[in-house]
Amino acid sequence: MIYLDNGATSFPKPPAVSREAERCLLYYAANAGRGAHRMSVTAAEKIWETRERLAALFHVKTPERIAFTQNCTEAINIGLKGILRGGDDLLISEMEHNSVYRPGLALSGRGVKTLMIRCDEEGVVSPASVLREITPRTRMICLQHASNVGGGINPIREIGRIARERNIIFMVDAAQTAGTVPIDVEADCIDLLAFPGHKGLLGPQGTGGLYVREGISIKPLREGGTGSASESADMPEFLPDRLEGGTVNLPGIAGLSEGVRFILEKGVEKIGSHERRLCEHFMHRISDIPELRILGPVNGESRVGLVSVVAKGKNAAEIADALDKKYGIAVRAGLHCAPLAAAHFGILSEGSVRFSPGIFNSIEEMEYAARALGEILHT
Amino acid sequence: MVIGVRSMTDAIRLKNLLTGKGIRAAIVQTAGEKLRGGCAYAVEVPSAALGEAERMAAGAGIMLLGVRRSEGG
Repeated sequence: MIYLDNGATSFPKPPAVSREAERCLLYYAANAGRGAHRMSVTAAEKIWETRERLAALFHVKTPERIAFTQNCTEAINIGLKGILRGGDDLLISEMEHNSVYRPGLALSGRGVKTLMIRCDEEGVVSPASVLREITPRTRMICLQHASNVGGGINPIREIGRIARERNIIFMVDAAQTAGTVPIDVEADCIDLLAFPGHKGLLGPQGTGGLYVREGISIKPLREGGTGSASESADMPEFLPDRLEGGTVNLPGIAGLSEGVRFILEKGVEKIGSHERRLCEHFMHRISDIPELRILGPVNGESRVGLVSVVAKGKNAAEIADALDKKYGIAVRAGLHCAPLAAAHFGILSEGSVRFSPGIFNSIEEMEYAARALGEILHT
Repeated sequence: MVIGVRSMTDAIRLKNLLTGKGIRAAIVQTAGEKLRGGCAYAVEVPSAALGEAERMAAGAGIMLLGVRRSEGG
């Protein structure tokens, strides 16, 4: 199987990821923060090590401001629902994934108004379009760093500065960029960073996190035991405990620690560059297929490592099925949980086929995928 | 000396800060009634390092919940 579905979840993982998750389950899978016996301390130290590695990756000065979640969606939900109140305006783009769109809409029942920022034809937000939508009631701007459909990278640093200058909270959804595009929460003026552990960070599924800048007041999405301030009926005020009610996914976090270590050693730029090179080669090879439309930016440097295509008169799911059954290639077809993006590109009825390589894919595999796509479309 | 902290995360942070400076430190479980705040986690340090530990904790924003003498010492 040639796995080109890293936009959904990365595969394979570096061998150290599964090794550490297994080591955890075999030797130190105690409940972290619920005791001070040696095994519990070892578990807590592993979690802290992972926070420190994530902090190094995202240039976070205070690792304790990173709370673990089960995925990026949960992190976004905490950020939105833990901060916004009735009367607030929320700005999102017209390319957002359902992980932002759905909780944003759900907040309308609490009096939060969601406003859409327009994107250009490549699906990218411009700072000017953000400025146009800001109102006196704008409390938060929540944007994807890159689209999971078009692959275009948003200029978060410029937008972050716009938000910071106006005292607007800026949350970035790094689902498609954490681990493959440099992120610096200080320089990018990011107040909240939501990220998955199982995509570009190469960790196991069931992991993710939320960075919350010092000074941002946030309510937890769930209350429960934290192993701290147990005499109080309220959740602790301090992070990460405030947002981590209940036992965390220790084996997953242990594996994630090794995924992040792999990235820190290899380098985010190098990984992103490899994936972009694969996509540029793929786009070049399929560019002569008639009736085929490539979504997102034409310039390979402006996009993350994914390529979504639409073939006129051909169903996306049928193409993906043929790639799987006849060629052993795993891709994703459909709306990619992003109906807003599909509507933006005008493909809501047919969807698209997404090829998303990862760090372990090769040019030869992209060559094979391009040839396979050509053959399917010509038969 | 045993320094009480509010969470295991803070205990690890304090221990790492101290050991990074070459000060011997270990995380211990402590009886809540002996320290303010009902804390269950603490870091044990040599008496001579208490002042330094308190300064480092303050610098890192680690809230200390109390200090007591170590058992048997």
